[in-house]
Amino acid sequence: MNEPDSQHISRRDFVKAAAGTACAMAGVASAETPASLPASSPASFPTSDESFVREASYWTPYEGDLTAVRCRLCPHHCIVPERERGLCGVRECRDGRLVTLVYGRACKAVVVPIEERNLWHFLPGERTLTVAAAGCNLSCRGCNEWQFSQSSPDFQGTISADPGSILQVARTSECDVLAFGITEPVVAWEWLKDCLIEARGAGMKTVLSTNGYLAGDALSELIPHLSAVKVDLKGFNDDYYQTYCMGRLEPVLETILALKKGGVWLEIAWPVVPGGNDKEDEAVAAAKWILDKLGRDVPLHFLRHDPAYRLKHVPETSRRSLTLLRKLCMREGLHHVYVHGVDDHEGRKTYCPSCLLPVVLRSANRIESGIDKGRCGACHSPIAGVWKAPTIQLGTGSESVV
Amino acid sequence: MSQEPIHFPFALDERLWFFGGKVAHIPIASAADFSFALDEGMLSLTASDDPVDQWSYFFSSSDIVGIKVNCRLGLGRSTSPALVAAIAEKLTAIGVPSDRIIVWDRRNADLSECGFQLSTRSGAMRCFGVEDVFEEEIEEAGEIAGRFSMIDSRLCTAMISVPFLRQHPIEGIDGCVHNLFDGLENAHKLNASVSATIAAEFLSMRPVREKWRLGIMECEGSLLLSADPVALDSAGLAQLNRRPEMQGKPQLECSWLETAQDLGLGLIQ
Repeated sequence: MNEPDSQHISRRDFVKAAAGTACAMAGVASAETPASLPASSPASFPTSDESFVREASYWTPYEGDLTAVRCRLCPHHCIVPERERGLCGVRECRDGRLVTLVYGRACKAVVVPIEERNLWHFLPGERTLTVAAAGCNLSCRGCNEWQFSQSSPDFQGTISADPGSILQVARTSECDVLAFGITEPVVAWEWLKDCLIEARGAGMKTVLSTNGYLAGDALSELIPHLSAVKVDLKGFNDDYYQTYCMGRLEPVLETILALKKGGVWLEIAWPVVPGGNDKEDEAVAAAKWILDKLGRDVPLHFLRHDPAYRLKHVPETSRRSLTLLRKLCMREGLHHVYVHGVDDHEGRKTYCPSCLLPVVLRSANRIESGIDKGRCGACHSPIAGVWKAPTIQLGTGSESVV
Repeated sequence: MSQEPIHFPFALDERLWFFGGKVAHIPIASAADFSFALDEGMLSLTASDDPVDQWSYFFSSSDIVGIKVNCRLGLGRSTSPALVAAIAEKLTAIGVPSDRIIVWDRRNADLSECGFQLSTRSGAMRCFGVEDVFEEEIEEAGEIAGRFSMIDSRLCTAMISVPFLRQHPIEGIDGCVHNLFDGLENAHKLNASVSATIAAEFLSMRPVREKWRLGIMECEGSLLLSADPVALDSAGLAQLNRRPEMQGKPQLECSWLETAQDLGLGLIQ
C-alpha cells in the first residue's frame, strides 16, 4: 500500500498560504497597494489518478437525449450527466458510461477489534482489518466520519489497495477477518465484491458495516461472499430517513430481510439522536418488526449520539434515554439489546436468554466470555452468534496499517 | 458617460437594486469577438461607454478576482481560454494586477486539457484547481452542508462565473450558478440532487452570495452577461429552449429559479 505523491502537499500549502495572505489583506483598509501572493513550484500540480477507474456495474443509459447514465446500484437511481457524479461521489459518467473511481482506492485502513464494527455476537475480540474508501450514498446529518463519507475520493489521502494487497496486509497484520466500514462500503461495489471473493477464497471471514442502502440485485451478488453484516437502522419512520439522511426507510428494511434470508450473521445498529429518532413508540415499532421478520435473536445496538457534522449542537444521548429504549425493546421480546457509548452500562453485557445470567462481559480493553461452543456456560442453552474462545484481551485502540 | 464609477463591494442582494433582471445578449462569430462583445455587454449593463468605468462598477484594483470556468467536458465543450483572456484583459485595464486574477476549476487535469496554463507564479495570472484545500468548518443552507474551497471562501474577494452553458438533465441548465457548485468539497451532493431548490439554496450561501459579481456565459453563438445570476440563468434557459432542436419537445425547466427569486437572490428575466 502506497502513500499519495508528496507533490500534492506543496500546492496545497501554496493555496493555504495564499488564502492566509488574502485574509490578512482583507483586514487592511488601504488595499490599493496590491500584495503579491506567495508562489509555489510550477511542478506542484497533482493530476487525477486514473489507475483506480474501472467501468461500473449496475447502470443503464439515460432515457433522455443527453449524454448521461442512470446508476442503478442503490435506490437513489441517480441520473449522472457526463463528467458528473452520483450522490455517492464515487461513480462518474465518462463518455456515456458509468465508472467507479475507487477500485482499489482506500482512504483508511486500520486493524481494530471486531467490536468496533458494532458486531458483538460475531467472533468477539477478533482482530479485524477494516478498509474504507471515500464516499457514501446517504447524507446523515450526524455522521461521525463525514470528512471521509461526505467528501470525494479526490480530496482524501489515497491508499492503493487492490484485493491482493489487502489480503497481504491482512496476513501481515494477523487478521482473519476483513471488514469494510467507516464510510459506506457498498458505493465501492465493484472493488468490494472482488475483495470479498478473494478474502473468502483465502479462508478469511468477511464483514460489512453498512447503511443498507443498496439495490436488491447488487446485494444478492454480495451475500454469498459475506460472513456477517451490521446494518444501520437510522430510525423507523420514512420522514426521519428523508430529513436526516436523504434516503428512504423501505429499501433498508428490504436489505435487512435479504441478508437474513441469505443466512448472513446480522446485527442492527440504531444511532439515537436526541429529538430526532429517540421516540419510544418508534423503537417499539422497530422491535416488533425485528421480532416478527427476523426473530428475537438478532442483536439490536443503540448507539449514543456523538455530536458531529450537522448535529454538533445536539447533545449526547442521555443514559436514561438509551436505557429506556433498551428496556422497551427487550420487553417486546428481543433477546439481545445493547447500549454503546456508556461505560458500565448493563447494556454492554450479553445475557443468556434462558437462565438470564451474564455470559459475555465487555470493558474497554477486555472481553470475558462464558460461552462455550455457542452455549451458555451455566445452563448450556444456545446463544445466537458465532463464538470463539472464552476470554479475549483486546488491543488498545486501533492500529493503523499504513 | 463621465459619471464617477461606483464600486460595489456589496452582497448580491444590494447590487441587485441596480442590476437586477438586466442581461446583456451579444452575438459573437468567433473568439476574436470576445473583447468587443464584453465591451458591448458591459455598456448594456452599466450604460457607460468607457470600459474602465464599466468594469469598475463591479471590481476595484484591490480585488482578488476569481474566474470560475467549467472545463469538465474537455476542449470545445468548455469555457474558452480566449474568453477568459479577454476578461482578464479588462480587469488588468482597471488596475487589477494579473497575479490577483485566479482562474479556477474543480480539477487541474481538466484545466490543462482545455488549454489553460496551470500557474501559481507571481507576476502572471494564476490558474489551478480546488483539489483538496477546503475550510475546516462546514457551511449549511437547506439540504446543503459542505466545506468551501479556500479559493472561494478566502483567497478571492470577487467572483465571476464563466460557464459554458448547456442543458442539464436534472436542473434544466448547467449555467452560472451550477458552475459554482465546484467550490464545494462535496459538489456531487448538489449535482445529483433532485431537489427543486438546491441551486437557490446554494446561491444563498454566504461565500457565494458575498463574492458574486458577474456571470458571463458563452451560448449558441452569443455571449450573455449579467450581474444577476437568476436573470442570467433564466436568460440562458430561454435561449436553450429557443434552439431548433427543442421545437415540439417539452420545454426545459429550472424550478430553482423561482425559489431564488423568492429569496431575493435575483429576478427572473
